[in-house]
Amino acid sequence: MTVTAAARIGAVRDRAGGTSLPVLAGAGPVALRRTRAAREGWARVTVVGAMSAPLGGDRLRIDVDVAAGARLTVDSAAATVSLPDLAGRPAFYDVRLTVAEGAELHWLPEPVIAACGSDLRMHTRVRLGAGARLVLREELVLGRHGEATGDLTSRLTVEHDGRTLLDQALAFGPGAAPGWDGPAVLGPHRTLGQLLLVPPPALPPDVSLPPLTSLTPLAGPGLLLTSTSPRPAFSRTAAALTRA
Amino acid sequence: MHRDHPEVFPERYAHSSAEVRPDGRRRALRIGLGGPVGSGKTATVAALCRTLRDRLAIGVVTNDIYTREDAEFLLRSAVLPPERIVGVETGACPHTAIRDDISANLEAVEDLEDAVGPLDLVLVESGGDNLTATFSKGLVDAQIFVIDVAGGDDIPRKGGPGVTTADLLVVNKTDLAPHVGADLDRMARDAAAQRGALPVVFTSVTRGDGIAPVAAWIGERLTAWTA
Amino acid sequence: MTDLTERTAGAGAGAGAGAGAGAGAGTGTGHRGPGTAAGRGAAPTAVVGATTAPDAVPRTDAAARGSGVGAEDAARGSGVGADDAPGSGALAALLLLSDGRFPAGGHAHSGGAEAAVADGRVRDAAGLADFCRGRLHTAGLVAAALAAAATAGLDPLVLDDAADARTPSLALRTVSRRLGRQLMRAARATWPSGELDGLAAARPRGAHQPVVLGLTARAAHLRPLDAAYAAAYESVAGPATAAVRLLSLDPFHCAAVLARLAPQIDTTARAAADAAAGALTHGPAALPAASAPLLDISAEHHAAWPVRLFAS
Ligand SMILES: Nc1nc2c(ncn2[C@@H]2O[C@H](COP(=O)(O)OP(=O)(O)OP(=O)(O)O)[C@@H](O)[C@H]2O)c(=O)[nH]1
Ligand SMILES: [Mg+2]
Repeated sequence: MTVTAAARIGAVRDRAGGTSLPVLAGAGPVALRRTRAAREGWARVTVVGAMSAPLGGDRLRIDVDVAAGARLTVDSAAATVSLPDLAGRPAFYDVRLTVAEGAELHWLPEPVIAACGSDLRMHTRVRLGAGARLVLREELVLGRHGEATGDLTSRLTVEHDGRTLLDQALAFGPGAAPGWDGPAVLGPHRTLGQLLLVPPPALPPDVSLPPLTSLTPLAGPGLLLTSTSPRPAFSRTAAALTRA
Repeated sequence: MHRDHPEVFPERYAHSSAEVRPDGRRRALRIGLGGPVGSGKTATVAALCRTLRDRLAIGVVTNDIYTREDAEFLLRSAVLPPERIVGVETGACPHTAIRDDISANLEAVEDLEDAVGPLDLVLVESGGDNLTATFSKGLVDAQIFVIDVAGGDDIPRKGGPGVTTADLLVVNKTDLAPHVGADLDRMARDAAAQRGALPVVFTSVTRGDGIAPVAAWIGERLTAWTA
Repeated sequence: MTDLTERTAGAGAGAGAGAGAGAGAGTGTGHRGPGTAAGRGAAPTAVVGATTAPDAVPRTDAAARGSGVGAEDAARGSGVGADDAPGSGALAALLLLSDGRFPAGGHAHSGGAEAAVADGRVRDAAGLADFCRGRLHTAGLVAAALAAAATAGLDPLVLDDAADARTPSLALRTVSRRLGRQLMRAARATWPSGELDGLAAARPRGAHQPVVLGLTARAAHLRPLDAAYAAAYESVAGPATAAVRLLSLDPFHCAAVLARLAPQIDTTARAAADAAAGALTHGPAALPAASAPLLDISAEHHAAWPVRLFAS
């Protein structure tokens, strides 16, 4: 049985200067929990439940709308494991993040893992108003421990104040274009971590990067960390930058 | 495009050898320095800068085999402020960058003038190469070929485009002639035979006022350029 | 290059057919530069549109393109210079544009090969082939699509922004703009055009190289698919030539690597031209954005090396 589900989160700034969640609608396998935010003035939502297993044929979608002045963190309870479909159909996972002027969103899901034989197509569209702030983490893991990878594509489109800040498509797995596991694209590495920061934070001058990692300013107010290092190294660097 | 257009080479689009910059100012005189590895090109550039920098606004473009050796030597020896020295990468093919595809060097020369204001003289040093390396006329107005006595006193006899056609041939490191057994008279005769009326100077650019004959020659070119 | 032969053959066959052109010309909507006359922009649409015909039917494809040429001529108000007409010089112009000796600065760039060789990712001809394949389907595809879109008449400034968004690495953006500026210099001397002048004036520090390449192809009366070919081929020829110098590879092996890639260069160029046709209607978001993480990461590292042979 396949599912088509669209979950929605809407965050607004309340009178007390905090953030409330007038819209918090899970759908199908995408269950949403309001969890305790680490910081004053913030709200936090954790994606839980069967969302951790999109199957071939599924069409999942999450819309997040952060209104002016609101501050929201969205994370997830567990990694998302993309599993194969007997009929060989792809699964689709669409994420739409809208962050208004002066609002802030931390989108920090756990990794997406492409199990052997799976086929997941993700598209994350971000629209940022002028002066909106974003921290977005995406981690792709190709195959569960010791297994070959499934197909995983991820397109990330970020619009800032009406201009496209970043448009990036990643495609890995046996169905991807030839050379995806060759020395120009991913080589022998099986994880790819990215962290996008808008606007770019003031960096400590001694920021040191693990191997196979770059930190580069975008052609606009953004900074992108990209790493094919093993996950712990990426996570440490990402955490340090998120605090910066 | 009509077939019957007269065939014209649109120099105004290339800007490469246009003598007037887009902003209407006359551009700097560009002198190329080529020659075999280690003959003293960088030493010549450094000495020229020291001698001429009080009178002239000078910029330097280096074409290293490796990116920055020459540029960094010039920076270390502080012959010019750092913003007046730029390096160009040559993809392991120094002669290509000064002759067959001069676009990166042209960019560098123009960027220099854009960045530091009007210059009188831009020196373009080629990466050390062989005897066939010459500069494109689209890049420089005149070229100096630097060889040295230690590289063998038969180099002028061997000829090649650098030795034969450069506007000035510099035979450097004459101070080493006794040590390496180089016959300077023979070099002078061979050079004259190869070059006809084109000038040759023998010098030791790292000694005292060894650069003087080269500086004097550049002075003449500049007078002609600004006339 | 099977495509060239195909097209040369098809040009004659399609020369008299005008039906496709009228149909295509009406689809000329979308992102046009302020300086691009609508009538002129419409014809290349027909040409790009024609390339969306299934690859499996090369004759039809070529015939349709031949008819597109007629429309372009009409739009340009000139009876001569039909792209495939004998004596137009268009095919020779493509050879000139994609010749590694065309003086546009490419010789000093390795397309990431220098960094890959230094890391031990590429050690021999097989590694080079693998490297080129990956580059072709990512950076090569994106460059080819941007170039084709510029030839098709999309606003070059819109495409320049699209290239920025598709190039997260600052080092690679810098290189692309520098090479764009160098190509612009060569292009304006070779195929003078008001559109090239316009882009040079709007981006004095250099527009992205694929955009300049596409506009150059346009100035040389080439078509979007031609520009896509030039960009796709260049995306692998550059690293291959550099690898010969970096690894002292046998140059014959290197040529063989490129020859084996020819079918994939074909499919990449066609996919790019199709995407460019889509972008005429749907805007630059329809252009591919395929990314190669190791190229991006190592480009940043390479740019910081104190000593290197190649500029990128
Ligand atoms: N004895 C002596 N040594 C000199 C003279 N001129 C240069 N040298 C030395 O020769 C060496 C090479 O000089 P460079 O100026 O670096 O030579 P180059 O032609 O720039 O070399 P590349 O750029 O590597 O091709 C240095 O050690 C210089 O000090 C000279 O007139 N006499
Ligand atoms: Mg030197």
